[in-house]
Amino acid sequence: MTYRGRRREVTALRDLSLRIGAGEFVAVVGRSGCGKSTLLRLLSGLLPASAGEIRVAGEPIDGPPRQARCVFQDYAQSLLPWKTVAGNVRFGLRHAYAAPAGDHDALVAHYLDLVGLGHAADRYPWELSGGMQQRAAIARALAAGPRLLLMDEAFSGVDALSRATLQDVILRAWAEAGVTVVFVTHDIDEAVYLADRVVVLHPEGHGVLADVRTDLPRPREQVTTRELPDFLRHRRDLLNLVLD
Amino acid sequence: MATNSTVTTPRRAGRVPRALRSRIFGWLVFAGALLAWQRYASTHPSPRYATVTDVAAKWWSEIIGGPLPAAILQTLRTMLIGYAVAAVLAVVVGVLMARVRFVYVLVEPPLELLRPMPISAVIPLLILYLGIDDAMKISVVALAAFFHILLNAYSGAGSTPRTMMDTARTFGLTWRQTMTEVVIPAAAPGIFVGLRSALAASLVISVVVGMIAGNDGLGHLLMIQQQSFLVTDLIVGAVTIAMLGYVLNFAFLFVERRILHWHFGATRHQD
Repeated sequence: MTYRGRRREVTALRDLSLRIGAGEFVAVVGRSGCGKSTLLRLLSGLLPASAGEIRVAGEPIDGPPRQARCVFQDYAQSLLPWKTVAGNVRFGLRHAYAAPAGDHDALVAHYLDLVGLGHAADRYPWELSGGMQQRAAIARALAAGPRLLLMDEAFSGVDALSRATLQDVILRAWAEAGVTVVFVTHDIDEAVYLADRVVVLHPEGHGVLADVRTDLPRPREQVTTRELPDFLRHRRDLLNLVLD
Repeated sequence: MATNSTVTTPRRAGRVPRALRSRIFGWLVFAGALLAWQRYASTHPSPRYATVTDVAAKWWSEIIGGPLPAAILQTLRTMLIGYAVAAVLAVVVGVLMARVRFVYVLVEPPLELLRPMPISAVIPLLILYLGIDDAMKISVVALAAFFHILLNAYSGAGSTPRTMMDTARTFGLTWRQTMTEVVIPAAAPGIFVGLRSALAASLVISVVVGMIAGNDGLGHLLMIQQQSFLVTDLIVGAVTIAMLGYVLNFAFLFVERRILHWHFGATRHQD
């Protein structure tokens, strides 16, 4: 994958081949500049690949795939500030991949409850904390009934405790919706805690450095999961890989 | 916050006495100036001056039985039609310029050449082509209002945050949906800045065009009164136009606060 920078051609990613199964929760980690965000922009169809092919559900993509929705790091500029939280979720329902069955009001309430924002339906995004805004963005993405959820450093902008809440929200949503999640993060602990499979990108974007199945038991729990010997082993191995 | 102004109240409380920090102080000074005027005009009788009470009485009599209501309606009608036409055209052209490269390259050069031209310079030409009736007056007002709104709509529609555009794309919005559901609402605060300055410009131009065309409206009325040396009537006219501007601005802010409540809330929140 090569794209044109302002002054020269920048090859952000090359020799990368990855296959992600339906329903998987995959975390992509790597150092800054390894191309993990580029990979996600490619998958979301926002950036055309200069070479190679990306297939979603067997079909080569040309623009954003219909069955994918994104949760961006910059929630404040992703939510529509002129709509309430419920209004933003309704936007997701209106622009859905698989039009969900049922009454829209009930669906809005359902997705808000799923992310723990039932009480904030009529508030505006700017009235909420960063963590709550990102939960609203997750509810909006899920309301569109996606088969693929792409998350780019989605929890990097919030404080540590809100981050733990967001992690549990996305795990609950993933379990309920049966959606495939590709989660880009620079936080190894977060990757091991959330995913079943952690993909480490080569620091200069030369393909995949490691592709590790973690398969920790579910449901995960913030304290006990992080104390499991397997959690600590994967964490150590992955940190060594990334820091090398 | 003041109800009829977006000028923010200075918050610093220095060592200024309490009485001087209240808005009532400004009104008292204004009342004092009116009193001084009244005294001066009544102690120096001259056809060049009119007392405040004379002006008020004249205003009332002109409102209930004089030519003022018809002139106001005529001017307002010209103004509001021109303003509405300009608002619709300018928002459409501005958004298209910002979002469609072809439209930008097509209309940007001529608009950039026309923009600095004073509107008063075009009035004689438009009279030649369109006569002195509604078609000309509405065109002049629309032309005056158009650029105020256009520039703000253009810059507003051109600066939708990238993440918001990415959101629209990944949610599969069509081009049209992206414009109506994302780009235009996001540009609305900017568009309203343009709409507001265009409102003031429209009022000025709708009076001036009546003076130049000289057939109806407040501008025409003022010219007749000036030629007849009716000082009281002239002051009445000026005061009436000022009041009209105040009411229009008030109504505008009322509507704006309802439509952009989310924007005011969000910006207040950042303080």
